[in-house]
Parts: sequence; structure tokens; C-alpha cells
Amino acid sequence: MADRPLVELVSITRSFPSPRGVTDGGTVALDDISMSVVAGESVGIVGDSGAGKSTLAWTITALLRPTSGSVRVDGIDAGRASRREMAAIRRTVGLVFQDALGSFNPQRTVEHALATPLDNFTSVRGPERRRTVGQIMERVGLRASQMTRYPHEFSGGQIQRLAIARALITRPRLVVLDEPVSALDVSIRAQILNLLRDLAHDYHLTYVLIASDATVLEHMSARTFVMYAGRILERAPHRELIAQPRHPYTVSLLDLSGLRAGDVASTPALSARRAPRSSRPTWEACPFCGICPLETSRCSTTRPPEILVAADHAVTCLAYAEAPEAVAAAGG
Amino acid sequence: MIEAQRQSAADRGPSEVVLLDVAGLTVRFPSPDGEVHAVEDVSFQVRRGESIGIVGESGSGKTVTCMSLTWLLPSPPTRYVTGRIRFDGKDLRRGDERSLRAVRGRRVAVIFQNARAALDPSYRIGSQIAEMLALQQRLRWADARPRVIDTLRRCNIADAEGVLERYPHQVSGGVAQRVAIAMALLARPDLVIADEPTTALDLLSQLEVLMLLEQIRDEVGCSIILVSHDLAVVRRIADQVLIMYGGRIVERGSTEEIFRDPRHPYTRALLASSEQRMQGDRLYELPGHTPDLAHLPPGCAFAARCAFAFDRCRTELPDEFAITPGRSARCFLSEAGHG
Repeated sequence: MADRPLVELVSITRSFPSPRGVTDGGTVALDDISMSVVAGESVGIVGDSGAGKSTLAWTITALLRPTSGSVRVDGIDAGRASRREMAAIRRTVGLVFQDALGSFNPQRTVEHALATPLDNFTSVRGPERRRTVGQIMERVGLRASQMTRYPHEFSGGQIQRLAIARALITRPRLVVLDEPVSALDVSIRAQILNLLRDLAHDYHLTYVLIASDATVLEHMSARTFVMYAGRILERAPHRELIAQPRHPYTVSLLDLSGLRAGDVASTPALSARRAPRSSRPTWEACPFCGICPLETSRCSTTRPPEILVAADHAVTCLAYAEAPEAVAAAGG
Repeated sequence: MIEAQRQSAADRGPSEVVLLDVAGLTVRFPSPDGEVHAVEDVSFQVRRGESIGIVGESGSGKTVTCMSLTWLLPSPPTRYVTGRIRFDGKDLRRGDERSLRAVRGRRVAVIFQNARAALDPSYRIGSQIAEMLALQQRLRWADARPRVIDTLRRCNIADAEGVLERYPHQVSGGVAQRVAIAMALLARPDLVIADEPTTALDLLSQLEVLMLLEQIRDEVGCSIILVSHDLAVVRRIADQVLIMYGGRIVERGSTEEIFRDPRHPYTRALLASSEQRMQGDRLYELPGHTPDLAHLPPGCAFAARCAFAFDRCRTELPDEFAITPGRSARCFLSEAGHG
């Protein structure tokens, strides 16, 4: 079962040109990303906005081609997939977009929106089509009778439920959730997170859960990747990452979760991150360079290697490579 | 003149002088579904230098309350049923556009949730700031530019010159929000209304925005109304917290009291949600959704979602029962002699 990953990314790079008139050489949204996701083991991706998380979501779901590197979904190379194979990819992976409301056509009913994936990727037609839409709506906590309504008639939480329903209607095996609760009132976030947990259990789903707040990943991510400026700076089993973050960036990111509890500890890493960065990182430099409290003289000139800290726990940090004890002490 | 009235920045903490006095504000809108009771009988005061947090879910009347403070919503269709607003000792009269224009933006600055949408997409950011300064303070761009760049830098925008040349869609949400805050800071207002300024931002940008608001308050000595759906966001800044539900204030008190001893079941639910408390192996979940403001129930609007509701809650609207001076809850459980 776990022999073939559901999704496998190998050395993915994706760059975007700058807007006209801005001569800064463009943006590298993803910089040499490799990861694989096996069935039954949900992963989390955490990082600030601008880290490349959404670009990664679009790449995993084969909506965006990487500039270089390969994406394999259930063994199919998305870059060379035939029409038929692409349809198989679309059935295997679903995406819940960050802007849930914006991902619905305002002029079409919810039934139309939810049935479109059925029309495109399944043979479900006629009365069965409407029944399937009704069933999935009930399953995500809405009423089947609401399918004749338009997106603007739903609240933020209900729209998120609809977006989840649309992603699930073709019974995918993997669902990418791009910031599924960040746009919602805190009072209804728990409703959605609990629903996602239940659905994962009932439908044997594997998630790629993307968030800027690590606490959102808490009960669902088995393994978590920390992204910054298009790179993965640390990856570890989620509990281990929370308990023993190694990368100085991860430490500062997790400190921020203290915002929820009302007080933010003023760690050196955090105060440093508040300082504006003067220039974008070069390929050779660590992207956290210039901000990092544990920076060494080589950090700005040497691309940091990935160091294995423990089984399945890796950190991409030169300071850690040179003096693991010192970094661990600063992080603990 | 205005400068002379202003508290010195060094003298922090709210004074006793009431800057804004809102009394009995009731705002409704027509809808095909019946009249929407967006704000019902809302009264509160903001003192000079004081920060107020208004917390509630979407559709609780927070934004309409804020927009009504300078009568910003067009009427019709908006129906301002009752309400008097005094700002700095003078009545803000609805319809007196000349006087209102002198207050809006200049003395009362608003920072919106979607800063990018508040900027004009067809003009560069720099020219929008220039226009604002020309209108508000009759400043020429050449004279104002160094101060603008300095202000943007202090709002953590490293590439201030570059940002001035960009259009709103060419900057990130976090930068757009910081531009909006910089514009508010440039106006040196008496009151800053920040409506969900941190929503949709990542945690670092949220923290930055909150710290910038603190910075504005400390530098300019202004009062702040901070609106959020998240109690944790207002905790850092607010001296007083108002909890809104179904268009009404359901609990009020000092921030410290609200967090230490929340009285209204809704406030408790918000707190539990904000802290992501566990209930068994699941996250604590506030069931249901906010009430339909066109069809509010006769009793307490929260009764349908409240674990403690009894018959009276469904038929009779609870008053704001005083708990201590300045502290009240609109809940029968807080009525004298109860509990």
C-alpha cells in the first residue's frame, strides 16, 4: 500500500517574472523542493505568506507546471501525462483553494459547481448526479435542499464546507487544503477542523494541509515541512517538530503561535524577523540569512546542506551543520 | 489647535476626557428578506488615548457600528433609526457633510480589513498618499515625500521608495496593510478605527500590524477602536472590550476582567475557540451559526447556540445587567440574585 507514494515531488523549482517595470530578476517561488506523500499519512506545510505554499499546492495538484523538476501523482508523471492520465490525476487529488468564495462562479448554483467535477471526471449522470451532490452536501453539514442556491447566499463557514464538498465529490485519495481556516472566524474554525478530521477517517483521505499557523496542523499532520522563501528549511514528524524545533526559523515561527495565547515571547529570532529585510536572498545564501540570530560568516555565501537530525527529521541549516549542540540549545 | 488639545505622546494610558460618545445607535437596512437589524441600541464611550476592542463573529454588527461613527453609510438605503454621536465634545450631525468631511480621514482614520481594496487600483500608491496629504493637510508632495518615506520605513516597509512607485496589486497583503497604517499615521488622527486589520494575514504580519497600532497610539496619543472576530487579537492592545452578538453589545468590561472572568456564555465560547481548547479528543466547537439579522428571535439572540439557555431566554430580551462599574453582561445569568 505504502509502496508507491501518492505524490512525489523531485527537485521542483518554479519562478515567476516580475511585474513590468520592476527589475529585480523575478521571484523564485519554489526552490528545489523534494517531498513525497504516502497514502494514510497526512502532511502539513507551514510558513509565512510569500513562502511559496500556495504555489506548492498548485504544483502538487498539477494545476501549475514547475519550471524544472518532476511531479508524479500516483505514479503518473504530471509533466508528460496524456489527457487520459491527467483526468486520472484530477480524480486522485483534490484542492480546496485558499480563497474559497472566489473559487466559485457567482452566477452558477452550488449544484452546478459541485457537479462539474462529476461531469468532467466521472460517469455519474442523471438522477444519480443530483443524489451524489446532495449526499456530499449533507456529509459536510449542509442541507441537500440548499443546492439550488448561489455562493453568495452562504456564510464564510458554509462556503468552506462547499469547497471541501467539491474537492471530495470525485472521491479523491489526496486532498490539498490551502489555508482551510485562515479566512474564517475563530469561533467556526473548530467546526471545519473537526469536520476535516472526520472526513479523513470516513473517506480514508490523505491531506496536504497548508497553514501559516502551526497550531492548525496540530491534530492532522503526521509530518510537517517548514517553508521559507521557497525552500524547505526543516521537516520532521509534527510532534517532534513542535517539541524540538532545530532551525532558527522554525523556532521563531513556533514562538508566534504564542500570539494565540495572548503573549508573544520576545525571542531574538522573533525580534530579528520584525526587522525589514533589505534584499532578496541569493541562490547561495540561506534565505533566513540577515535575520537569523545564529548566523555564521559562511551563511551568506554557502547554500546550506540538509542535515539529518534524527530518523525523518532534517534541518537545512549551516549553523546546525557546524555546531548542532549550540543551535539545539538556542532552540530548546 | 488640535495639536494643543492632544495628549503628549509620553503621557500614555487613557485620560478621563471622553473623545467619542455613542448613545443608542440603531442601524437597519432594507432587504428582500425583511429589514436587517444590523445594530440595535449600541452605546459606548472612548476616552482620549484609550483603546477599545470590539469582538464578535461576522454579522454581529461590528463593521456597521464602526462605519456609522462618522455616518459613512449612505442613507437611504441605510436607516439610522436612533443614535447620537459626540466627538471631542461636539455633536457629529448626520447630513452635515461639510463638518463630517473635516473629521473623516483627518481626525478619525479608518483602516479596513482589505487594505488593498481600500486603495485605488488604478493609481500608484505614492500618488494616492500625495492626494491624501494635499487634501487633508495642504502639503505639496515634494515637501511631504521625505516624511512619507520615513513613515513607511517605520511601518516596516524596507523598500519605501519602490512601494511608492507600485500599484496596489503589485504589493503583498501585508505591505498593503502597512501602507494603510502609514496613511493613518500621516494623518495624525485623534481616533483610529481598525476593522479586522489582521485578518487574512500570517502570524508575523498580524503581530507587526498590532505592534504598529501600538506604535501609532504611543506616538500620536490617539484612541483606537480595534475590531476583530478573535479575542486574542484585541488582548494585546485594548483597555476595554465590547463583545457584540446579533447587533447588540452582550458583554463589556476591562480586557483583564473579560479574560479572567468572562460572564456571557458567548464570551466564554469565543475564548475557548480562540485558545483552541480540546474537548475530549476533538477541538472545542461552538455549534451553529450567527442569527439572521432580518429575523432576530424575541429573546436573547444567542439562546439557540447557548448551552445554558432556559425558557425565559427564548422569549425575553435580557438587559445589560451591571456586574461592577463599567462591567456588564446581557444575560439573565448575570442578573442580580442569579448565581
